[in-house]
Amino acid sequence: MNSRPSFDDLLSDWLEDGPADAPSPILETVAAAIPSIPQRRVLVRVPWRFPIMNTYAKLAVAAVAVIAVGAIGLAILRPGASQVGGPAPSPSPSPGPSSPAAPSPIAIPPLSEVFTSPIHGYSVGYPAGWRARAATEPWRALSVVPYDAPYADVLGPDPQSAEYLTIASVALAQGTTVEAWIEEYLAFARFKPCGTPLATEPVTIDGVVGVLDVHCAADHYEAVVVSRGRGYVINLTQIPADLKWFRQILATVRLHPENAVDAAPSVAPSASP
Amino acid sequence: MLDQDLVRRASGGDQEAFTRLAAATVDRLYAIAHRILRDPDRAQDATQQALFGAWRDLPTLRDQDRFEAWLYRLLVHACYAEARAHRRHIARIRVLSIDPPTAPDTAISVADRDELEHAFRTLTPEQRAVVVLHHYLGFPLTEIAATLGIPAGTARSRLHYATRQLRAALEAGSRLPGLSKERPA
Repeated sequence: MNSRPSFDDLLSDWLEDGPADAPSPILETVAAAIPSIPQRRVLVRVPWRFPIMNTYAKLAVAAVAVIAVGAIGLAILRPGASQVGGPAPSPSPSPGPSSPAAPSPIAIPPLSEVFTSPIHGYSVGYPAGWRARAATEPWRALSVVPYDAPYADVLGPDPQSAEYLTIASVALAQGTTVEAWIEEYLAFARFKPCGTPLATEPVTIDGVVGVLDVHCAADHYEAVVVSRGRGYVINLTQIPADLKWFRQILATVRLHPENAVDAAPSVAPSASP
Repeated sequence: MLDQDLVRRASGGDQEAFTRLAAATVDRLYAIAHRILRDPDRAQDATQQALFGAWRDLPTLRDQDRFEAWLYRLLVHACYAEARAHRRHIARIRVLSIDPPTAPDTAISVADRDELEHAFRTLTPEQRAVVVLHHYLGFPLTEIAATLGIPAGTARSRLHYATRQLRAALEAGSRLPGLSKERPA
């Protein structure tokens, strides 16, 4: 009896072929390198969602969500509808309503909501349905801006999502040039999981030229800009990341460094230059 | 199963604990990276990047019971970066891995193996990762989705299209007349 193996069996067998052991230099390199790589420190863990939500609140949230979905659906299906959710908070490039959109790995939701940071001195548009978790303390030292840092504003759809924005800002120390600050910040990228940025290019945010860089190939974009003595870092983590959408988000950013809150006077000189 | 005490200690900055964790996982990580990237040098780089990232970001891992899945996620991201960096240079330098298969399985002919190798290299890094996690590690789609941080539907879609492409490559060579049905995912 000559029975052919199934395709899945062939595929699994083929994948089984190959090395099972790692070359020894990997472990030796890692062991040698980690003493020189600082670990991220987490000072405070802020829960993404409120831990206590009573039944009525859950029902209310569910009802609002259903209504919102229905409204969006009606807006999309209504003949002549041009944009969902009303006007965007600021002019942003968008494809014509009748022309087919450029190929995109995800559906691009309209940025119909506006988040104004209570600490970092900016506002940004974000999609309906996302939630914003405002920073609870200033960003005191130049470092990376992880998802759960208390100094990060975080906007995203839900706690399990791999898609979210993290934004923070910090006053430049006296005497620090814009170029030096950006260079110093980007230098931290080598400590990120994806290493050195793969590419950088200029980007304009609220009329100010900054730097757009790409970390984890196509799943992490970051923009860095300095406005009136204040450095801003805006990250989009998304799998796969959509550069077109990130640019639309950046187009909604308004920088208001005069509204930023800096608790530590030694870090932030009181007046902007 | 990894020692959770090691994870906790490494998260607190214990370098020896992390080295032991790395030693316990490096073979598996490299094996996965090699199967995704099909290149020993790039697999080595991706594995190192994943472990560097794990050390650096371990204190930010909220659920330490998920360390291993988180590590896989870092590794897959590192593989994406390696694959895309490779793609940019491949036009100038054509490097083909000539790793001989270890312990060939008699169930797969040399021709089938070549067809699979060729077809697999045409898949996107995202598709390759899902294929390897499913067919090599045996992860169900829900676990793949959780590991990679993607919706289950996306994982299913990637696996579907990747499998279809691989099957088509074999069928085009008329090497698999009457393929049996795929296992349900």
